[in-house]
Amino acid sequence: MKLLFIFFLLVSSLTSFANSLGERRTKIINIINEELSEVSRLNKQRGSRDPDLLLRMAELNLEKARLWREKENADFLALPEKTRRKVNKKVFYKKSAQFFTIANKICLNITRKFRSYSKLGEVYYILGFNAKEANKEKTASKYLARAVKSTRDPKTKVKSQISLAEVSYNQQKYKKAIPLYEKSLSRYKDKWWTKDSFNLAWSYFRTNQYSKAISKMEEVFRASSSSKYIDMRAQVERDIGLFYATANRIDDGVKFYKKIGVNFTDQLLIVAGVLTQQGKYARANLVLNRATKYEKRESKLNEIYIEQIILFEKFSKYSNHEIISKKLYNSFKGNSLTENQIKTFRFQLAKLAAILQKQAISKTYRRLPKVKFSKANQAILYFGYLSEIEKNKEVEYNFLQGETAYAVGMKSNAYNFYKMTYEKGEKQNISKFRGRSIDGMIAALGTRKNTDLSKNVYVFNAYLKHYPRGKKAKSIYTRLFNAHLATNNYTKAKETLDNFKSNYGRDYKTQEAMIAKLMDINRKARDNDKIRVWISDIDAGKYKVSKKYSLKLKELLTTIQMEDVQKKRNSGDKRAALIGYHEVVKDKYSTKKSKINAKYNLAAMYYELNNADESYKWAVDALGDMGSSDVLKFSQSFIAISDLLFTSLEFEKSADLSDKFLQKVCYKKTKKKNSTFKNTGYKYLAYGDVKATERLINLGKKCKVRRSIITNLEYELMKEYRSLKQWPRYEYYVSKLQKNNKYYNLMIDEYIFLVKLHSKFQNSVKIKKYTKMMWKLYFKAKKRRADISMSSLDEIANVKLRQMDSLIAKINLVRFEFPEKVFAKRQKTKFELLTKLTAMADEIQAIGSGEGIVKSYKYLEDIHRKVSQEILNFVPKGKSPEYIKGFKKDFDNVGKQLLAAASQYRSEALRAIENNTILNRENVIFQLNDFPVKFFGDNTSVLMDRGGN
Amino acid sequence: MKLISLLIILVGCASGSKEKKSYTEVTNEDFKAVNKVRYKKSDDVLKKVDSEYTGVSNKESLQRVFEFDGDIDLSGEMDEIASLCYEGKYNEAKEIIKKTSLKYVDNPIFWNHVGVCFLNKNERRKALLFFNKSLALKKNYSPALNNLGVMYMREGDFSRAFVAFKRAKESKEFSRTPRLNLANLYVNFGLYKKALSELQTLYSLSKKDVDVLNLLAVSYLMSGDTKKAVDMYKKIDSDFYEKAHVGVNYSLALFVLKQKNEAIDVFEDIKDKNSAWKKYKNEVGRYIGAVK
Repeated sequence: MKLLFIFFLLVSSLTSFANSLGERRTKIINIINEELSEVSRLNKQRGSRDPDLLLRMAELNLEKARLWREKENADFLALPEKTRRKVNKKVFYKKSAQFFTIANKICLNITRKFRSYSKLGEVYYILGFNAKEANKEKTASKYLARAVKSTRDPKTKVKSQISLAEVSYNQQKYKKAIPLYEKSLSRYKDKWWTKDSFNLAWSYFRTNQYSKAISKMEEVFRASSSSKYIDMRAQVERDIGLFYATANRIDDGVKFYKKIGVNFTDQLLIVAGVLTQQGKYARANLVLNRATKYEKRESKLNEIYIEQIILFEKFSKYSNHEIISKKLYNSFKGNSLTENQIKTFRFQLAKLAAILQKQAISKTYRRLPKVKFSKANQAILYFGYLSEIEKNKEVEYNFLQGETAYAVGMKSNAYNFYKMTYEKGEKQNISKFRGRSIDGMIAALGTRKNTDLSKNVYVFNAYLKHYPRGKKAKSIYTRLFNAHLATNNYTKAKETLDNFKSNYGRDYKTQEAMIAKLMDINRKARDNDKIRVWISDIDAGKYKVSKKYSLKLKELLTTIQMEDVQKKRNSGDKRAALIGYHEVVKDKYSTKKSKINAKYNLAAMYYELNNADESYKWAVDALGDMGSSDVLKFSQSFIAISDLLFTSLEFEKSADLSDKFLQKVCYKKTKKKNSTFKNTGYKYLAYGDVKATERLINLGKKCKVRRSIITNLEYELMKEYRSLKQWPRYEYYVSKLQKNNKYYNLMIDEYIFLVKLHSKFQNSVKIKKYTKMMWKLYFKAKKRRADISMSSLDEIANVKLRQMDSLIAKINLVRFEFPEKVFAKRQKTKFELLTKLTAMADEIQAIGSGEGIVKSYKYLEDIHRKVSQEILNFVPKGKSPEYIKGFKKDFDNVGKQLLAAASQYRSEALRAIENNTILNRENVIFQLNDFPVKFFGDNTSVLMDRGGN
Repeated sequence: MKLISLLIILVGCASGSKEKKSYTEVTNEDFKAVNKVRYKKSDDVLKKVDSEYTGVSNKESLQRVFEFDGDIDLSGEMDEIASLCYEGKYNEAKEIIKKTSLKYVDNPIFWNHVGVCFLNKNERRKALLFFNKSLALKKNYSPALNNLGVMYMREGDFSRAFVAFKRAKESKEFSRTPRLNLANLYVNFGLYKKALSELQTLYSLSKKDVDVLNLLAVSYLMSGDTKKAVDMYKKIDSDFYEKAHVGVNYSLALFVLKQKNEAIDVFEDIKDKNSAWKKYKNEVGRYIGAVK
């Protein structure tokens, strides 16, 4: 109440003071008006020819204008700021402007009409002053300079100089202003002296004459205490600090303020503020630092600190900002900060934290990790301060700390801040940052190597607690599950699986994957019972998995079973292995692969047991199920089993197995195809299965078995058909094989056989055709120098021998007869034919046929012997005994020669038979005895069971 | 005619074979690897064959022992198989082969026996496979080569038979059976000089071998040395004259030596009705006046 009363009194007194000022102005204006009225009347009387009256009128108008301007200024300042901004100044200052204009017009009139007027200086002063007031500084300068020059009145001169200096000062032409001020103020001291000296001090300051400026200020301060002068102390107090600070004489400034009893801190703060505004941050900081040096009061220090952080923020001195912030934070903790200071501090912290965070994550510092982390840490610190200052936003600031740390890769810190955010949020029941803090934790952990799995578990549990079916829940369940697995916490892992199942019951895949991992652990531990529990749980529908997977699990059991069996086998318990493989085969849940494996192993084990039948059975089964690559991989085993079957005289099974093997590896690139094909073919033929052989040949072609091997089997098949008397197939293969140049020689035998065969059936067309083929092949084989069989050669030779027969018949037809002329002719013919026959025999012998050699010699011997007998027995008819005697003497010699030749042929034949080991039944014709019977022996021979000694 | 007896003493039974059992009855013992009997020179000889008429090949061949006479003391599966196969007991032989094949899988002697078995059974292709298997295990294994020759001989492929016998003879310089077979082949084709060369060697080794003596006699006879031929025939046990391949030519030789009555006697005692000799026998019979 008391306070209100005092305030009321104060307001009332101020109002009365304003009223009294207005009254005084009105009175003065009235006085001026009265004088102006009198002077105007006189001027009129004198027809405006008296410049003094005009000057006075101008002076009075000027005074009036000044007073109105004073009032208008006061009114203007009294207006609310918003209104003030909207005010039209021309209109608002209309009254004063009107009088200024009048004064100006009068003065200009004087200057035009009274050029030699002695007080023209005063007129110019008025014109200059008016121009100055109207902010027409150029015009003002012009008139004021004329005033200074032309006035004879020292007072006007000084006033003009001051005004001129003021114009220059306003135009910031301080160097021009200084001498004008100095000259005028040293000679003239009116009440405005303090104000003008204040301007001079500033002019010094602006021209860096700080000592003069400070001295002048101190002088103005001192003079202001006198009522003779305008009191400029407040301005001096305000500005001198800046002068001291700028002159680096802050200590003097402090002393000055102390001396005059002014709070220097406040002043220094102002100075610092000014310096800051001027962009002189370093200087401002200096001022503030000085202030902290002298200031001991915490409240004032806080003010300084506040200014300092503002300053540091402005000129980006973030480390300094941090130091001061720390101090301020301590003050905040000590409750010594005002509301405004807290507000400013908070603003500063928030602003800078934001800037620092932005900088830390920017590309600029990507390659400067130290700087980056330093900025991030500062931002984190500030967010930390802010979390304390603004307790209601504590969670948000913790979150921002986390975000900052995460952004620069300080994942561990980030995790901790996010965790703090989450936990505080939970405590304070704030859900706003829950999701984001959990996400943050997940992100922070997700990319870290060697993550502490317990942290993972914590985060994932946190996420799933709040978002059991959240966007990321599926993957989180999996990650949580994996984290439990990694820490060998299988119970928790199973719990996670159960939780997942509760929320995503239909997600077979994930459940499958989790179960697979858990089962894998059971598997590694060889805990088959647990695996069985899994399978029964799945069967019971406790877990949803795909049918395929369910089947796979069952198959897993068999796989384990297989492994157990394998283990037993490896450890030498082959009996158990054998039984085990049988069980795998029988088990309805056994995988195809396991079954194949078991079958294959059974085949191999029965092979070991020398049980060809069982080995065959399982090998065929395994082959049927196995892929071609696997068959090829285990080819040695299949071949070995096939061999076992062969050596066990199981030809059909052996052939069947190798046939199946070939079918499997048909399209594989392996040399084994050739040997298998060949062996299979021989086995089929061994028990006369020509159909299977035919099929095998087709398979061989399909499987690209080497052509020569296929042809060889075709040759064998042809022989088999011949032995089976299946003539159409036999002929088919003969005609096929005869096209192969490697079989020309062999096919001669077959064509000979076919000719004989068809001869029996009197198939003349075929006889002719095959005879032709025989000769064709004979010549081809001969050309190729191929080995031709003895029987073929005999056959070829026999054809020639038949020609010899014809020739012999011709020789025999030629009979010796007389007359001499006829005899001579017949003798010649006969001998020529004999020569031809000998040449023919040579030709036959060259064939190389045993039969040809033997028979041709025999023909030669016989014909020579016969002709010899004809000669020896020939007696010309109707001739004298003397003639006959003479004839016989000569002609018998010829006969004897032929007989000798016959014996020679016999000897040669015997030699040829012996030397060439001619194995021909015809050899008997040269038998050394003269039995009428011919002995050919028999084909018996003795089998050999052992090599002997 | 003296009764030709064959005494076969079997020692031991098939061992090293694996009996087939139900898999539940199988023991770990059954899996023990069979000790393989590999080729040994000492095994490659018939040790206990005593037959005076087949003396030249008693160490190498059982065939003629089974045809003629003698005592065989057989031991082991291989002897047993050989024996059964000459006796025509192929199924029994097959069972032993199946049981013991693993044991002898790498033994050429064994597979030669198997080949002989099939050849005797007239399963030419199977025989060929096993002779080849034997040869694959032991290159130029004389018995397998010889037996291939026998096979070709039976098929009338004399050129191949000749090559096989020759190779068999060359692969084992002291072997007798291939020589005997070669000699027989030479005789069949009138190559008596060559036959005599081989036969004289064999004769020096066994003076009582019926086939050697017979072939020598034939060779002499056909070469015109009838006296030597008759001498040889006289060294043959007269029981063998009843066989066509001995008796026919012997009667011819006697006839040539002007011993017509003796010739006719021998001829008339021939009991062998071997078709291979029927035609020749008749020719000779007519020639010597034993047949009209």
